[in-house]
Amino acid sequence: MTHATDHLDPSEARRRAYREQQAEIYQQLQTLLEPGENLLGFTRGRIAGGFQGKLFIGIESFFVPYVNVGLTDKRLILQHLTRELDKPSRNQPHSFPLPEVINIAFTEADAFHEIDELGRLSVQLLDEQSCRLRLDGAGACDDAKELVEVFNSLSTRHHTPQSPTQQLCKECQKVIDQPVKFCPYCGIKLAVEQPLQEAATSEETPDKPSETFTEAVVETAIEVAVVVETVAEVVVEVVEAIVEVPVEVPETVAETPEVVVETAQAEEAPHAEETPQAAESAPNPNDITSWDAYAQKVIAEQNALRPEGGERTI
Amino acid sequence: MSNTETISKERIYFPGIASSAFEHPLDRAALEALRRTPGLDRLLKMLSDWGMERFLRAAYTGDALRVSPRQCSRLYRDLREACAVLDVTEPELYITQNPHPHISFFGMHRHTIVITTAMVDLLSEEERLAVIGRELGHIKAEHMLYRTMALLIAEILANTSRTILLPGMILTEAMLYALLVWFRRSELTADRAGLLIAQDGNICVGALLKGVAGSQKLMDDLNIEEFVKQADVLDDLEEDILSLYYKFSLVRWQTHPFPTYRAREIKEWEKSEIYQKILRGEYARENTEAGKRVCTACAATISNTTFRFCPECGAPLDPVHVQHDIRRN
Repeated sequence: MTHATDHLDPSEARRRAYREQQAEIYQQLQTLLEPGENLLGFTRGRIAGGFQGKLFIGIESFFVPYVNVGLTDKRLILQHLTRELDKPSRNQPHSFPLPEVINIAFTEADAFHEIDELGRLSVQLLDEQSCRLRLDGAGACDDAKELVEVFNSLSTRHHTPQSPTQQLCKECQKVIDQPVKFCPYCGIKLAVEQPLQEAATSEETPDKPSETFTEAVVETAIEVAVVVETVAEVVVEVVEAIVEVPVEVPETVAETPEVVVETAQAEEAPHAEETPQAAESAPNPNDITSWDAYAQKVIAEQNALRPEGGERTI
Repeated sequence: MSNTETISKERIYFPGIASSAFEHPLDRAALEALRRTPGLDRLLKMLSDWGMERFLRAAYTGDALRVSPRQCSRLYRDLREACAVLDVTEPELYITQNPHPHISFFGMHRHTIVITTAMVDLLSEEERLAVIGRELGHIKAEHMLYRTMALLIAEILANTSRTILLPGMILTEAMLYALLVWFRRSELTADRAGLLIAQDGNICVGALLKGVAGSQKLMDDLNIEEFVKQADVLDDLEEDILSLYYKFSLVRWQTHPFPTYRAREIKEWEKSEIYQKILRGEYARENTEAGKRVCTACAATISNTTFRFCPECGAPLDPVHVQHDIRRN
């Protein structure tokens, strides 16, 4: 009898096994999260760092050294596991708030590169303490690398000046720890600090009006062009109604930005040649008392003829 | 790594810096306790000046090479530079012929550094600066004085406790062990001083590495990162009780920690917030007037030595004036 897994590549089998373990780690860490806290990275390792390293984490590290490591947007969590690694230990998990974590680094532990499956994760804390973990397996190492990447992207946010007296020079990117008028490192005048929340909202406001003068001019030009095009269309219709022949629209008016004039173009050009004949059936100008009244009358007639019955406005 | 490097980078100076700015926390705790002991420090300084210091100075003046502006001037420039960075009174520097790469210092009243020729040959200029910086760190924190004080107190206590036989012996052993733990921590303080002078962790670790296994033929083939990783491997050995015991027995009577641990500590301190703050000019000062400058445009007083422009008016500031010559002891 053969099993489905008999033909599996060993590395593929390991990968599948680790996928199951990943799901398990994720599930176990989820139980520790507070509302609104997101798990951004995780791995599994063994507390290292010798006698002192274990003592730093706690006495329980000597008995239950394996931990799930979880990185959230607020803290780094170490969750002890039972010896069978199947469920979390009854020992309290440890967590370090992210602003207290200076650095998380991953290093390959196997100098001979015979098995690329041994790694180390070192967590450096603010109070000159550090915590070290040994990672077994390529999956755990890969996860740890991802966790470090996520931490590095988060750490820029956590380690930016947060104290009210601190500010960051936008020119030289140096942190200035005291209220100053000029950057003491590059000499540029520093702007008056806006409250962070206010600054963030002004940056993120959607559908904000045009910010530059050029953009404002272009927008106005487009609006004007649309109006001109509409007026031109009406005038053409009026004149057509008067003379009862299509009128060629001057290109300067017709080719306004983003506007396609629907009136007679090249196809109707031959009719333009017939204008002299058509002019014969045109109404006598003397019969028209007011051009405005006549134009309104033509528009009303055209609106009545439109299938959708919509009114046209200028 | 090579020996052909030259001192070219612009260093940050720390005028008026107090040793507490870079002391290892455990070293600081012991030092603060000893600093509170009244009168003993002055007595010891006096005794040292009359005794061992004069004897050794006579020995080295006769038997070694004293570095001066006219004798090994490059090495002398290194010493002056290191003293200026850490704001330390300039000690005497001697070179002795010795195949063992080593550097040490002595003295409580007048300080003296002794470097061996093997050490000079082995290190690059930057690394030499770092090792001289280490000894200056010891001098700045007055380790020699307080170590001697601690040993003296321990000796007195041991002599009295021997009268109670076994418990007395255990007490003496425990006291000596505790003192050696402190000595090892104080070496980490000295390493930090070296880093403050070299201002590059790789240079400090490189100097350590060469001290451990530096060979002229392997100079360009040394890997600092792998050396630092050895500290983790050493930690892993503590997983079994036998290795833990052997490790303990190896380090128990040592005055210096394992170089791999020192290397790792240097790299970690380089990343720390404390080190970064010192580089930004925020550090504990023993002399609050040191390094103060007055803006010529607006007359504002600037105490931070790393500032290049006046924070009040934006006018460029004069560079920090470091007094080299008047500080010689």
